[in-house]
Amino acid sequence: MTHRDLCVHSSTPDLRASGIVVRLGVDVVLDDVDVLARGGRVTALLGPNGSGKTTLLHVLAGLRKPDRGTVLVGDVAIRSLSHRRRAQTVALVEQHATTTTDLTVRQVVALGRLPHRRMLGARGDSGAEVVDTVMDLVGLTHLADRGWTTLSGGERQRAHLARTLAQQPAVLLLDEPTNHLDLGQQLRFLALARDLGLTTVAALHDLELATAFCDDVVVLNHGRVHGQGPVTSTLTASLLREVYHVDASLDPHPRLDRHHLVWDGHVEENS
Amino acid sequence: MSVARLAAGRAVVVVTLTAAALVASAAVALSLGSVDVPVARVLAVLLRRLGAGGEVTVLEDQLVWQLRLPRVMGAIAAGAVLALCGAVLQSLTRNDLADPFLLGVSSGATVGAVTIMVLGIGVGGLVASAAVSVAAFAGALAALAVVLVIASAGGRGLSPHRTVLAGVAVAYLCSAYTSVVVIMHGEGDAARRVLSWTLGSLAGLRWDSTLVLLGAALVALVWFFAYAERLDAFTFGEVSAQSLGVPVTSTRWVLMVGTAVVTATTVAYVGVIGFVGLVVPHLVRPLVGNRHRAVLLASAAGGSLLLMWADTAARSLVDRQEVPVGALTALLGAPVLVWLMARRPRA
Repeated sequence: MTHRDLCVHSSTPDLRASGIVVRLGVDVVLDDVDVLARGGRVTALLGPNGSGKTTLLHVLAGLRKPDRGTVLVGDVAIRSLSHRRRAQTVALVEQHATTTTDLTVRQVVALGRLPHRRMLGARGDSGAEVVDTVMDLVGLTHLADRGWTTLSGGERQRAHLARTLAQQPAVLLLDEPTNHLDLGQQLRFLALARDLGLTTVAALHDLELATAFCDDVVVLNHGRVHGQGPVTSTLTASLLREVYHVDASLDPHPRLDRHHLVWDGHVEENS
Repeated sequence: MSVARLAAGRAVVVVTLTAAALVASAAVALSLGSVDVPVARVLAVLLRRLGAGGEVTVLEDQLVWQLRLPRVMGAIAAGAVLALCGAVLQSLTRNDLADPFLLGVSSGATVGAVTIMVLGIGVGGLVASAAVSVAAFAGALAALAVVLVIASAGGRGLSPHRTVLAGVAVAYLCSAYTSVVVIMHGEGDAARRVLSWTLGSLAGLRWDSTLVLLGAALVALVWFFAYAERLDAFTFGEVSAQSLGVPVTSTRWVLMVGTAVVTATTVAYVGVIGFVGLVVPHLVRPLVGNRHRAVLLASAAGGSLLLMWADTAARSLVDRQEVPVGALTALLGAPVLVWLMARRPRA
């Protein structure tokens, strides 16, 4: 089994959210948010702390019912799916999910087979082959029998990624997956996620990483979409000033065939 | 695959050995007591009762079949229920200190029991011990209902955090009632009887109550085992469980109410026996791993073994007197718990 055989979905669908409103008490966390993540592309979800990125990801994953609005995967409304079917369609790598329970890497990855099993799970495919394939794909085969508590941050994130891949989803959602990772681990993780070819939305803090690894961006600010589209044409100097209160811009890299972030060190007070 | 298979294999070995130890040592437990009956005679009684014929004395039959066997079987059932509920609730709330009495069941049951024992209010012509059981069961369910109402108020599901806090609040309220009733209305040895009820005792078990306990244990085992894989999904918390397709809210309701009802059934007959539900799951996890199929089976077997031997000690350590079984499980459990926590890896 190769990683191509993992694809059980006939195509890579668009993920489209329209008119999403989420209220928490009197606060409006998401205010009429429209997002389009194109099939098979990687969309960065950017925005300052508290701009609503995690809430939006939970709505996109179908875990949270918005007060208004719908999320479509292809042309199917995510909230119309059963819990199991939803988990076979969309998978989420949570922000910094850890445990004191010392499961092995293989057992953690095998959790991803749960949506494909019946309640007593005795019958049918245990998915052992899928588990082997995805562990190989993220380079964890040699750690298969290691306990969770002995893993490094990068290894844990790759185990989470493998677990979500074992769900065989069409859409992959990543909530700040590179937090707490060193630079090498960050680059390796994002390269791995990009090369999967799934419809991917990744909440990121690092604009440089977003520029290097993502096709499109969605910028959230105070629960509203402040801009979306291809990375370089969306992250303009004026948008960066309005959203992050810094003087910065994406300039063509002198040596590489891409843009990179340049800022002048001036930071507005009281932002 | 090999090491994972090995781990699964080890779980099977541990569960099998524990179950074998349970059966083998049950014969020994049956032989011990105020009057020792040799194991060979114990087996003779059992064989005769099972229709294999043979000669036994009336006294032997009385001791082994009528008095000790229901008690031993009751201990096995109650131990299994408590350990199963502890394992389920520890995973569901991701709280190492969770035990079967988390949801106010024990304090509610005590309110019911105290009302009968101290105030002497009868329940529709039932004999005293049956009335205490009925009242304890009703008290436990009432406390559970209050905890669930408080914990789910505001319609945000049954968060473990709120549930634990609600359980603590209700427990304090119940204990206030219990103290007031005992101090203001208790006569003679009321305080002593209440204390001994809250430490648990299997002395009153006869076949009718034991059959109910065995039924509760069987229901708990099958029911919770069916949820084993869903419990695995809670390893990384509720968002992760939800994203794996587990209906988190309904799973929580089913398991919390389920554990509370079987615990209440157990408490109604044997009182509040602590530490079995807290310690046994912690004890078996290092042996069988953390997957819930293994943890649940091993907890059931381990809880049975622990409570059967604690109760055997309770009835045979001191001549003509019962040592409170809850005191013995705590005496065994507390040092084991401390030792286990000391050698645990950190996250």
